[in-house]
Formats: sequence, structure tokens, C-alpha cells
Amino acid sequence: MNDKPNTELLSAYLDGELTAAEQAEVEQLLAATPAARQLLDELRELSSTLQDLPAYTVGEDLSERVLRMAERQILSDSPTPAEPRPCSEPAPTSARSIFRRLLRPRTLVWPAAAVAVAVVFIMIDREELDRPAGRQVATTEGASEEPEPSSSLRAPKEPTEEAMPAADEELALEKPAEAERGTAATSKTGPPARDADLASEEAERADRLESRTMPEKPAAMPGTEPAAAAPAAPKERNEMRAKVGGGIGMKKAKMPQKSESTARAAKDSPGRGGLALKGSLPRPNGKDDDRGGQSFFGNGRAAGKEIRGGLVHPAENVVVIDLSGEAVRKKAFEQVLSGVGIDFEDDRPERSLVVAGRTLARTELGRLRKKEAKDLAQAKQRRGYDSEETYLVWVEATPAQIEATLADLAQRVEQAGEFVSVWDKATAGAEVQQVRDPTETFRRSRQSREALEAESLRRGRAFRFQFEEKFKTQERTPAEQTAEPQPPADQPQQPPADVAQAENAQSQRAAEEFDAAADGPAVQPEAMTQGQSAKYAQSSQPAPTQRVLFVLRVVESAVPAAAAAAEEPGPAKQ
Amino acid sequence: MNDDAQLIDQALAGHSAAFGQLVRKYQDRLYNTLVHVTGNAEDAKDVVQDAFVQAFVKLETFKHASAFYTWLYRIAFNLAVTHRRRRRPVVSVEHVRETSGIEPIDHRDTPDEAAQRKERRRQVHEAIARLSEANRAVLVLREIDGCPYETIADILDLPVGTVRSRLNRGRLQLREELKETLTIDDDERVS
Repeated sequence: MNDKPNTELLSAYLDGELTAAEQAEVEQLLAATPAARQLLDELRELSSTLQDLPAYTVGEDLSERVLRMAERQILSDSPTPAEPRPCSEPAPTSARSIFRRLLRPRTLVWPAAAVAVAVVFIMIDREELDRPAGRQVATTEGASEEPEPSSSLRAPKEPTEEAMPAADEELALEKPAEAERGTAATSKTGPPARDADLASEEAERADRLESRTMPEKPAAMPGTEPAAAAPAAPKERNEMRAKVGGGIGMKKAKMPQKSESTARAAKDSPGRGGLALKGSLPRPNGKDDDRGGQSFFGNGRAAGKEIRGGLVHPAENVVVIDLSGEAVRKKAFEQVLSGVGIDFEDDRPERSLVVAGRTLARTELGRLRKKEAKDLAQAKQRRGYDSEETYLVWVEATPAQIEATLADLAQRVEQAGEFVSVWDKATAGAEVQQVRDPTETFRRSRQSREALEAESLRRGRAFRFQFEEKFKTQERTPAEQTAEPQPPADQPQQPPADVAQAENAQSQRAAEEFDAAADGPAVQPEAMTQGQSAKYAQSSQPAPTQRVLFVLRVVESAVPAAAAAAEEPGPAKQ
Repeated sequence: MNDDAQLIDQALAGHSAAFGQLVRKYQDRLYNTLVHVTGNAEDAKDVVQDAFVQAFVKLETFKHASAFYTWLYRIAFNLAVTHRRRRRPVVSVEHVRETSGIEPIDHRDTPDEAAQRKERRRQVHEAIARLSEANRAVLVLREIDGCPYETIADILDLPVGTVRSRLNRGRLQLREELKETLTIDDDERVS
């Protein structure tokens, strides 16, 4: 017998990997052949030597880094509306599954997601929530007595150069006009801000914040499943945008979008059964001023769970909605919300305005640093369009309401109408990249206004100081009071600690409620009757709420999703 | 296994921390294997990280048909191949260790034996590094990681018979190259 097969058999014998027949054969061989026994001993010795080699260890916990890298990859790989969805990716999930994921806060670092471009600037001032704001405010219908703040979106129509103050004034003036529309369902989706001023204003603000998070770290969310519907590929976004922008123009709104915030609102009426649309910053700790360590979207600086400078908390749920300009004009999203008892309300003076979403793409690049301009250009090129028309709407509502909202959205997407697609935050990072947290700025500004001013001058951007003024007005300076309506009655404010507890409890209850509800039949949007809406809104029982950030992106309305998908090799919308 | 499946389900449900547990659970085991496969500590670490990242990103495609670590290893070995193609010739692990300062854990070393052990380890590592990639992968998975043939076949996408023959060839080559070392070892043990 030749040596080779014997060796292989002996090797396998050593490993106990022989069949019964082979085993018997080898044992016979070993019994009869000393050379085979010696070889087996040598192999055994070799094996022992190898197995005795000391083990190498990494020497550190790779989990954090791995998750961060994964998030980054997910973000960078996440399909944009114009990109085809990889076959390997799961089909868009149902509203229910999105919601399920949304209810599960991620501990990851996706908030650091600012992959590359600055797109939306958000300004939030939690501390000023209870101050009158001369802007549109979206509130909750359900908040019977103490309406929750909500977000309002506006589209500036007349870009004015360096008209920050002017913009403020306009905003103030706008308010009454908006109020005319009625309390409910008012401003939701104002057209995107086009004003160079706004953009620059935001740029300025961003500057002040110094949280230059341009394209640093992408925040990704662990959950990477696409949301309800696959993003359809709009044809030519830029073109569309232009159209939409013109059509959208809501009055003279200057701020592209505003969302009302809520931290304070939540405090004021922690258990309101209704939902409140709040443009609020998440306050994990329940402390108004405890922003340190919070993770928000868009900051790429921090690694790990605590990231500062962004806007969206890691636990914040994000749903990105692509909708047509027509939908914006028709206030389709508002309708969806009001269908489940969530309404935008105008004129909520007790809540200050929070968000100002604006793309830098249309800003005067000259005002931006080269790097920012470059990043923006690259991002725009990468995405194939900029996200000028992007509105951020924070909704705080009960799990059932949010689920119903998502279900309704999913259905509307199916109908290929005003809503093109709905995805979860796995893809949000690509769009809401540069979100900054103005709260910190404001706080800082309050603390050291002079220092800020000095810095502003040093940077040659006195302009940005107008923001200070702007928010100062919210502090009810005489001048402001004349321009803006006085807040109704002072809203009772609970101590931060209480609020924190209430919110935590709410959050927990919301998750539990959803988990319980998940096993039952899904809430059908159609089933949301007026009565049900009323129930949500008027329930005297404090209902647990869940905060979700809806990122509304305006896409070409004239190009049906299917057509767009056909033209641009993109995945067909679900 | 059940634990892994549970963690995977949790990760898929959005609890990324669950995946973090999987990383911590397998990172050293995978790293130790890859250090021998790549012959380079840095490459091994890169591959380990990339493998976990890919596993996380593609977690939804994991069908539970095999053990998680088998799936993970498959990803890692594929990445290792790619990595190696981009890199220079394999350097011996011992060399890497000496230059990188990364010391494997060996609590048995005594001052008296340290030098000899170090020399033997160097020879063994170099011998492993001289194996062909195909044989080395199989041998490392079997001898270093203790994988059964079937698992090795699964990881490397090979027939079990091929695993057996490659393992045999690798062992014979090592036996030949380490004859002297093994003999010394024997002598030491006898004495």
C-alpha cells in the first residue's frame, strides 16, 4: 500500500474523522505496522505542538468600533432614491415592522451620521419653548387644554440677502396669517427654504455652534432594514425642486421649516393622550440643560454612544418620507397626521419655534468655508440632488397613532400618489446629515453673549448674531411682543425631574404598549375615525407617547415612482 | 448556539448591543485563527473587524443554517483572501509579534524555557507561514481552532474529502519542516 493514503487515513484517524470502515482499516494497519504507529505519534506530537501555541488576543473590545464601522457602511451604502436597491436587501417592510424597529432605541452611534454633507440645519431651543414665537407652530390637536407644540414648516419665497432680521419680522407677521388657517392642520410642510438668507443664517448658526460636523462621521442605525416602501427614484430632483419650490411657496414664510419643540411641552403636559407634534429635542435625561453627552444626528465627532452636536438623539426614531411638491401643497402629510388625531396647529405662542431646515446647496457658498462648500457639492453630486426641500417634523404621539400614521403613509405610497416612499432612519443619515443642535448655541449665547459676539466679529460674521436677536425676541422684548402675539396663558411647567420621569415612563409604556399591540391586528388607517381621533386627542388618561422625527423630502411630483424607477435603474417601489 | 441565535434576533430587531455581545464573544477566537492564517497581526485585526462589520450589515441574510461563527468565519476567510491579495507577502507571525510587540498569552513560560520556547514558536509560525494558503487555512482551522472537518468544509466551501487531504498534506509538510523542533521537544519532555 502506498504511503500517501495511509498518511491521510492516519491524519483523519487522529482527528476522529473516519468512517467505521476506515477506522477498522487504520486500526488494522496500526497493529501490523510499526511505521504507521510512529507516524501517528509524530502527527499527534505535531498536533499537540500546534494546539499548544499561545493564543493571540485582540487586546481590546472591538464591538464599539465594529458597530460604528457598520453604521458608517450602512449609511454609505444606503440607497438613495435614485439608486437601485440591492437584491440582497430585504424588501421594504410594513409600517408595523418599521414601527417595531422604531420603538426600539438603538444604542448605536448612528446619530453620528453625517456622512458627508450638510443638508439640514436645525435649530432648537428647548429652553424657549414656552416663550412666544412669531412663527408657525404645529401642535397637537389632542392637547385639549395644553396643546403640545408641534412643528411648522414654511417656505421662504422671497430670498433676501442678509435679511435675517427681516426674516424674523416676516416670521412674526406670518404667524397671524397662518393662524387664519385655523387651528388644526396648519402649517406642516412649508416649502423648503430657498432664501439665501436662511441658508446663510443657518450656516452662521452652525458656525457659531462650532459643531462643524460636516461630513465627519456618519451615523448609522443598527436597524438597517428599509422601511415601509422602497424609495422610488425621482427623475430630476433639481428640476423638481425648482418646480416644487415655486409651487410650494406658502405665503412669505421665510423659514424653510420649523418644527416646534417640545421638551417643554412634554413637560407641561406629560401625559396628554393626544399627540403632540413637537419639534423637540430628545431629552433622555429629562433635564433641560443636560445636553452633554447626548447623541444627536449629524455630529461626527463623538464615537460611541455619546455624541454631541447633532440634533437627533440616537434613540430618536426617524422616518424619511419622499413626497411630491403637490403633496406639500395639499398638506397631505398634515392630513395623514390629522387622520390619526395629530394636528398641526398654528399660533402656539407658548411654544417657541424650533426648527429651521435649510439646505446649504442654495446658499451663498461664498459665505461658507471652502470645505463646507466642497462637501456640499460632493454630497449633492453623490445623491444626485440636494435636499433643499426637506422638512423636519417631530411627532410625539401614542404608539397606536404613530403606527396608524405609518400604515397610512405606506398605503399612500402604494397608491403611488403624493407619497413616493417611506423609509426608516437607516437611510435618513444620508439626507439629514448636517443637523446641528442649536440649543447648545442658544444656551451658550445666553451664557456669554459677548463672547459670542466677539467671536462672530472675529470670524467676520456679525450676521449670525442676528440669530441672537431672533431668539431674543422670543424672550418677549417689547419690540417682539408687538410683532408677535402674546402667549395665551402661562403654561404650567413641571420641574425637569418630573418631566424626565414622566417621559421615561411614557417611553417605556409606549414600547410595552406597542409590543402588546404588535401581536394584535394592525391598526388600519381607515379605521381611524373621527371618533378615534377624538379619543386620542381627548383622552383624559395620560397616554404613553413615542417621539418620531419625520424627514419630509420633496421630490418630483410629476414623475410617478414607477416611471422614475424605470428611467433610473432603481428598485421599483413597493 | 441558541444564545447566538437569540442575540442575532435581538440585533435584527434593532438592539445593536446584542451584536456587540457576539463581537466580544468571538473576536479573540477569530483573531487568533486569522493571525495564523494571515501571518500578520495587523491584517488579522483588520480582517476581524471587517468580518464583523460585514456580518452586521448582512445579518439579515444569515439563515441560521449553520452556526453563526461558521458563517462569520466564512466571511472572514473570504476577506482574508482579498486582504492578502492587496498586501505584501506573508510575514511570519513571529516576526510580526516581535516587531509589533503583540505577545500571545502563554502563562507556561518560565524564564528558563522562555528562549527555547520562543525559538520553537518562531519555527512553528514560520513553518505554518510557508504552507500553501489552501493547506494553511485548513490546518489552522483544525489545529488552532479545533474545527471539525465538516465545519472547515463549510467555512472554506470545500468538500470534506478535500479538507482531509489538504490537512494531511499540511501536516506532512509541517512534520517535515519541524522534525528537528519536534525532536527537541520530545527530548525535553523525556528529560
